Amino acid sequence: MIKVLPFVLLFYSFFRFLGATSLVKSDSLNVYTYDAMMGQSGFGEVLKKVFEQKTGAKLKLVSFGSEGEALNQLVIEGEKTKADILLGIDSSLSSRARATKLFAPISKELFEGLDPVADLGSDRLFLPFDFGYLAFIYHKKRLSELEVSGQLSNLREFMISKAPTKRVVIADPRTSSLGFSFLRWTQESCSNQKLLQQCWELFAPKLTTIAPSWSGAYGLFLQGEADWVLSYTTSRAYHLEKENNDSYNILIFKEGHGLQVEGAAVIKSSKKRDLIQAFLKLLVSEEVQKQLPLTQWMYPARQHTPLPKSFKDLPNPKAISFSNELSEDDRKKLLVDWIKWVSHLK
Amino acid sequence: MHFFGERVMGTLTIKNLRVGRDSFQIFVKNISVQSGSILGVVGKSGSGKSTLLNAIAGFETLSEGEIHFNDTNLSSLPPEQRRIAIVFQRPALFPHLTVLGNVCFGLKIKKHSESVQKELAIPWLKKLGIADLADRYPHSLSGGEAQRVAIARALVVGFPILLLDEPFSGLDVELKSGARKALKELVDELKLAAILVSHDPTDIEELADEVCTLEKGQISGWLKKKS
Amino acid sequence: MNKILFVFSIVSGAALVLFILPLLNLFTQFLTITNSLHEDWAVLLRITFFTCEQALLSSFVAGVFGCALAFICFETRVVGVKVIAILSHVTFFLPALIVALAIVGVWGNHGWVGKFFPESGVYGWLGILLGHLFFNFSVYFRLVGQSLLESEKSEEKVALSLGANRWVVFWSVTFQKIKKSVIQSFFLVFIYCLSSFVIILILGGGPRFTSLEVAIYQAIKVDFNLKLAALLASIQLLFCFVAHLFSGTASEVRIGFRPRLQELIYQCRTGVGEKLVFAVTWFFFCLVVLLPMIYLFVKGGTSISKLSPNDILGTLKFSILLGLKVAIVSSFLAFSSAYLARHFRSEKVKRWVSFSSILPVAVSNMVFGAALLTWAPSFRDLGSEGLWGVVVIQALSALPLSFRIFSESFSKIENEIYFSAKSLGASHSQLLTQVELPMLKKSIASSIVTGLGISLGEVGALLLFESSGNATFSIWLFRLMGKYQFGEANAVGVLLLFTMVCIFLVKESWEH
Repeated sequence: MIKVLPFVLLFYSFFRFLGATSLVKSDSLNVYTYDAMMGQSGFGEVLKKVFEQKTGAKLKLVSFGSEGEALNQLVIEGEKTKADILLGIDSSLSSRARATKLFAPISKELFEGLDPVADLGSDRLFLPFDFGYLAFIYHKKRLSELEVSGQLSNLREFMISKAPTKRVVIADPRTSSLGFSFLRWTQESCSNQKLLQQCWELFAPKLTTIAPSWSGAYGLFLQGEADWVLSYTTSRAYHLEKENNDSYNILIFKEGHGLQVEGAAVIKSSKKRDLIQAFLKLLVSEEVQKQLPLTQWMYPARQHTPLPKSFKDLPNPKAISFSNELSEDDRKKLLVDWIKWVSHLK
Repeated sequence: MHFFGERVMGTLTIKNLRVGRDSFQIFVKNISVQSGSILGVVGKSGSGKSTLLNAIAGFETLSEGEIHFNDTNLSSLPPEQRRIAIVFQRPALFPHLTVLGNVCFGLKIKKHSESVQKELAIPWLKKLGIADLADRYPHSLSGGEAQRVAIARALVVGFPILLLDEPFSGLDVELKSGARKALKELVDELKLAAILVSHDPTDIEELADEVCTLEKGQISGWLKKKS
Repeated sequence: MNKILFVFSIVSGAALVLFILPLLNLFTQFLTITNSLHEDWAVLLRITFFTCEQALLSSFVAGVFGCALAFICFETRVVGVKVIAILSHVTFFLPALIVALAIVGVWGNHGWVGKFFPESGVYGWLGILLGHLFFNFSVYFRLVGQSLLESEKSEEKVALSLGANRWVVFWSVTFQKIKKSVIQSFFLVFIYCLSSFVIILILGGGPRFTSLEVAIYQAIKVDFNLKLAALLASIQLLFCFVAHLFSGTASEVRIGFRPRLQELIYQCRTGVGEKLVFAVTWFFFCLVVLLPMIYLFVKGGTSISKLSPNDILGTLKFSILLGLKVAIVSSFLAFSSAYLARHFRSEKVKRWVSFSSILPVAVSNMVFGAALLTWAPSFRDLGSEGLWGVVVIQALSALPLSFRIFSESFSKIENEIYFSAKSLGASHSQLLTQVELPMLKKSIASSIVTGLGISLGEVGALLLFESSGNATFSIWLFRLMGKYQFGEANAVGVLLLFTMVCIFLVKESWEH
C-alpha cells in the first residue's frame, strides 16, 4: 500500500487540473485584468461578487502579471479574443492601447458623475474607475521637520535641491507604469528637454537604487534603505488604516502632482453588449466605487463617493495631467534619454 | 534436442570471427569448446581477450563469422537470447538487490515464482559457501564473497555456456585455490562449455583443458591440446 | 530495435519540437524586418557587454566560494554538512525579489551589517555579486561536492606519502579530478547569470547596470516589441551555445601549476593555511547565505500570525500539487533524454541530446512564455485555468537540472552490470524496469524534488498563464507585496523557505 501511495498522489495531482475551462459561455463575462486585482482582498473579487449577485451572470477574471501583459495578450489574440473587457488600463498605456484599435467607445452616460480629474481621453475608449496622485512618501522619524520644511513648490525643486537628504528610491520607468508616469510628470514639470536632462542628472546621485516595480521600491523604503519613496498619496492612508501608524507622511508640491488614472475598456469584437453595459455601470456605481479605497488604495473616479476617514484626511493636491500622449517612438526616445541621464553620474 | 529448456550438452564453435573498431580488430579462425571442458585464452594486455568474450556473448557486433552451439546459430541472436553466462573481473552485482536477489535475477527474468527462485538459488549459495550472506547487499561484501555471488548468479540459470573474464583477479592466493577447485568441479558436474581468460598461469594450468594464445587480435598458438 | 529507445526518442523529440517551434516563430519575426529596429546599437552593445561581464565575474566569485565550501564539507567531514547541503538546495529555488530584499536587509545602508559600513555600496557590483553568489554557489557545491565524494583518495595518499604538502596535493591531484565539474559548473552558472533580472535591477542600483534580461523584459512586457525580444533572446542563446561548447572542451584541458605558484604554496604550511581557508569560507557562508536567511525568518516570522490558516493550507496544497505535476513532466522528459544519451550508439546524437536538454537554461521563462503565446495563443486555455502552460514552462525550466541528475547516474551504471543482466536473459524493458529504474531511485527522487523546488519558487510562468487567481507561495508573496502587505509577504517567504527545507530534509533522510 505504501509503495502504491506515491503513484496515487502523483496521478491525483496530474488529473486534478486536467479539466479545461471554457471561456465561451453566453451567460458569463470575461475580463482581462492584472494580478493585483485577484485574491480575496482584491478589488476584482469585490466586483465579481457584486456583478454576479446583481446580474446572475458569471464574471470570469483572467489575470496577467501586469496591465501591459494583459494588453499584449489582447494584441496576440486579436479579433479572436474571448475577452470582453480589459480592466486596469492606465494613463501610461492608453496611447499604446489606442493604437491597437481593439476597443470600442463606451456610452456617454457612464462618464457622468465622474471626477473630471480622472480623464483618459475624450474618445471615450476608456472608462476611468480610479485614480491616484503620485507623491514622495517619507517617514517622519527618519527626516526631521527641518529637512522637510518649507513647502517645495514643484517637483523640479525636489529633484535639484541639495536638501533634503539624498536617499530616494523610485520604480524603474522601463518596467513599471508608476515609474513611467513619474518620468512623464518630470517631463511636464520641466519646460524643455535641457531642463529635464539637468533635473535628472542632478537627481540621479540621490537615488539609492531604482527598483523594478512599486512593490520593490516600497519594500526597500520600509526597510529603511531610503528616506523617500515614489508612491501615491494614498500610501499614508494604508498605514493609518491597517497599521494605525501615523509615521508616514507625504511631500506636497504647490504646483501639483502627476496623476495616474485607471480605466476599463470594451473589446470591439465582443457581442455581450448587455452584460458589458451592466458591468461598466456597476464599476462606476457608488456601491462598488466606495469599496475601491480600501482594496485598490486609490481614489474612486465617481465624485462624492464616501471615503474612509484615512482618505478624507489626505491632502488634496492639484492634479497635473499630461498635456499630450506620447507616440511609441517618443516614448522609446524618452526612455533611452533617461537611461543616459541617470547612468552618467553613477 | 531443443536448445532452450533442459541443460543441453554440445559444442560451442566459433568460425572466422572478425570483430572490432577502426584501429583494432580481432580475427579468430576456428575455436571449438566441448561441454565439460574449459578453453583458456591467454595473451598480453590489449591483445583482444575481453573483446573476444564480449563478441561471443553478443556485446560486440561481428563484422563477419559465426558462433554456433550445436546447430543453433548464436550470432544472429541478441545477448539476452544466447543463454551464455558471463562472469567479469569485477563482480558487477546489482547494488539494489541482496545477494539472494542477485542470484535469483536470471530466474526472475524467466518469470519463475518466488518460491521456485529460492528453491533453485539457495542450493547454489550453499554450494559456494555464501548462504549466510543471502540478505546482505553487495556494498557490504568482500571481493571474494562478491565474486562467488557473481559465479552463483551465472550458474543458477543453467545456461550451457560460461565465459569467465579474469574471475579470480581480485582474490587472495588461498581463496583463488579454493575457487579454482570449485569451478573445475562445477564445469565437470554441469557439463558447461567454458572459456576462461586469465593472466594467472596457475589458473590456466589448473583449469584449462586447452589453451590458446591471442596476440594482436589473432590466435598465435595453442599451448595445450586435449589428446 | 530497442522499443524503449524508440518511445523515449519520440518523447524527447516531441518535447524538443514544442520547445523549438515557438522560439523559431519568435525569431522569424526578428529575421523578417531588421531595418524597422530603431534601436540604439551602441546601447545594445553596452548591455550585452555588461551582461557577459557580470555573468563571468559572478561565476568566478560563486565558483571560488562554492568550491571552497564543497571542499571543506566533503573532504574534511566537518559538522553541519547536512545543514549546508539543505540550505544550498533551497537558496537556488527562492524567488529573486525576496532574496534581493533579504540581502538589502543585511547589507543595505540600513542593514544589519551594512549600517556599520556607511555607504557600503551594496547597490552596484557588490550587490550583484552577492545576489548571484547567494543563488549560484549551490551549483558548484553540489556538482563539485559530488565529484569529491565519489573520487577515491588513493592518489592523494600516494602524493602525501611522497612528501607533497596539502596545497600541492590539492592542485596537482584533487583539482585534476574535479576540474571537469568545476568547469561545467562555471559555465552553468554563467548561463544562469546571463538571464539575471531582479538581482541586477534591485541590487544594481540603476540603469547603468542593465542586463539582456532587463531589456528583454522591457521588450516583451512593456513595449511588446517581439522583434527586439527575439534579437536579444538570440544573443542569449548564442552565449549559451558558446558556453556549452567551452564547457565540453575546456574540461579536457589539463591545468597544472607553475613553479612560481609552487613557491607560494610551499609557504602555506599544512594546518594553518587549511584552517584559514576553512575559517574564511565559513565566515563568508554565514555572511552571504545564512544571515539573509535569518533576516527573512526574523522579519517574516512575526507576521505569520497575520496569515489565515485556510489561505496557508490552500496555497500549500495548490503549490505542492502543481509542483508535483511539473516534477513528473520534467523528470520524465529528463529521464527520456538521459536514457537516449546513455543508450544511443551514435556519439553525435548523444551530444545533441545532451545539448538540447540543457538548452532551456539559456531561454528565460519570460522569453519562452512570450514565444509560446505568440505561437499558440490558445495555450492559455489548455487545462484548468491555463495550468498546462505553466507546467510546460516550469518543466522545461527544470529539465536541464533533472537531465544532469539522470545522466550522471546513468554514467555510473557500469557496462558490466548491463552485460550481466543481458547475459542472464533480460530484455530491454526488463533491463529498464529491473536494473536501471531501481538503481536510479535516488536520482528520480532528486529530480522530483528539483522540479518541485523550481515550481515553488517560480513566478513568471504563473503570471503569464494562470488566470484563475490560484496562488502558489511565490504568487501570493507577489500579490501581497503589491498591496502594501510587506510583513505578510515576508511571512509567506518564510513559509516558502520552510516548505522547501522540509522537502529537501525528507529527500536527504530518504537518501540516507
